[in-house]
Amino acid sequence: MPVYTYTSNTPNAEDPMNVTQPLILDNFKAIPELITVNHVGFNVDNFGRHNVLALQEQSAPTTTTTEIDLFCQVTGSPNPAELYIVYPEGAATTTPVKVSIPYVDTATGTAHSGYVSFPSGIKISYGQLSASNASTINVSTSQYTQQSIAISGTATTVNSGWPTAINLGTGTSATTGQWILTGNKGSTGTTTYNYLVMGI
Amino acid sequence: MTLPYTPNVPQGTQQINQTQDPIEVNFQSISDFVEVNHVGFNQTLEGRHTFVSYIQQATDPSTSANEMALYSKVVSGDTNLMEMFYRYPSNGSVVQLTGLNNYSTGTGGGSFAGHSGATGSIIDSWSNGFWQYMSNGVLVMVWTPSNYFASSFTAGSAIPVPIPHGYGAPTFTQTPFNVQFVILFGQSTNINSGIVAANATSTTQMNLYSAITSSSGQTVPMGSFMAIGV
Repeated sequence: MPVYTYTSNTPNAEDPMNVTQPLILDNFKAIPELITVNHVGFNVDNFGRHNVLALQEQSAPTTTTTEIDLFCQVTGSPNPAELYIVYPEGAATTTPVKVSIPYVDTATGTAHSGYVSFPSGIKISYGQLSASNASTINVSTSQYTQQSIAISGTATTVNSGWPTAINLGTGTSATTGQWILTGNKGSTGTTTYNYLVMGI
Repeated sequence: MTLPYTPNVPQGTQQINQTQDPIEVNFQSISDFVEVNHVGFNQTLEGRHTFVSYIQQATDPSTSANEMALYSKVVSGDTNLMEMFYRYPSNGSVVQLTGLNNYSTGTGGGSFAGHSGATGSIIDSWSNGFWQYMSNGVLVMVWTPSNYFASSFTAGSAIPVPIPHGYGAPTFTQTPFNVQFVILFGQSTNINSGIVAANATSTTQMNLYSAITSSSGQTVPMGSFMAIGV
C-alpha cells in the first residue's frame, strides 16, 4: 500500500487552513509517490517517461478508432498470462491478438522438444523421436489446431540398416498430432530423428 | 474530458477563498488523469498500469540514447487500420511489431494455399504453406507443392522450383539465405531420384539437384520446402 493518502476533494470552502494543510501536504507527497511507479518522477531528467510497464491482468479493453490497446490477460498455460493488443474500433481483426511469444520446452537429456507460438497463430515445433522404419509415431503436435507441415526429419545417428532418406509426412490429423515416419530400403532397428514442424 | 486543470494556482496575490476551488479541482483532475490506464491513488498497486492505449502517431517519435519507444501509427492498406511499432535508441531503426505486410491479418504471419499454373518448371505450383516474420524482419516459410510432373531429370542439372510469392504468400526481398527440402511420406518409391542438393537462385526460385539421371517412370518425389531469408 502507498504511504501517503491522496484526498481528491480537498480543500473545501468551509475548511479552516489548519484542517486542509496536512491533507494538501499529503496530496503533494502522494502524487510523486504514485508517479514514480513505472515512471521517471519529478525534478529529474526524463521525468514522465516510463522505466518499465507493469500491466495488471484483465479482460480485453474497448478501443476507439484511433488507438491500439496493449494489455495483459490470464492464459494459464504455458505461462500464467500473455500480452495482447486490441486493434482500433472498426479494424478487421476484432479479437485480441497475442503479441508475446510463449515458448514451451521439455528437456529430455540432450533431446529438447518444444514449440514457439507467434502472434499470428503460427507455431514452430521441434524435437527428437525414435522410431523404426515405416512405423507410425506420435509427434508432439497437439498444439496445432488446423494443419502443419514437417520441414525436417533428419537422423541423428547412423545405425544398422539406416535408411537413405527420412520421410516425415504431413500430419494425418493435426488435432491428434499423429505423423508417419518411413525410411527406405528396409531399414531395421531404431533410429533417432530430429524433426521440425510449422503450422497453425 | 475531465475537470479542467489549472496549473497557475495559487498565486501570491490571490485570497484563499479564490484559490480553494481551483486547488480542489486540480486534485480531482490529477486523480482522474492518473486513473487513465493506471491503478489510481490509495490502492495497493497504485501507479501500475491496467492497460496502455497507444494513440495514433503521425510520425515516428524521437528516441534518446538510452531509451526505446513503443507506439502505434497508420499503415496504408492495412485492414486493421494501425499497427504497433518500436524504435531503437538514438532515433534508431523503426521496427513494425505487428502486421508486417499487406498479407498479414495483423500478426506478421499466416498461411497460403492454392496456386497453380506456372509453367517452365518440373514443379509448377505450391498448394499450401505457412510463413512467419520474426521481429528482426527474418521470414521463415514452409510449403508443399500441389503437383510434381512425372518428368525426366539429369544428374547434376537444376530442377527449378518456384518459391511462393503472392497468392497469399509474402515475397522475399532478397534471395533466401537458406532453403531445405524433405521428402514426404508416401514418396519413398521415388527416393531413388536422388535429390542431394537445394539452393536458392532468386527471390522467387530455388533449384533441386539429383545425383542421378532419371529412368523410366521415375519422378521427383513430393516433399516439403523451407526457405529462410528477408
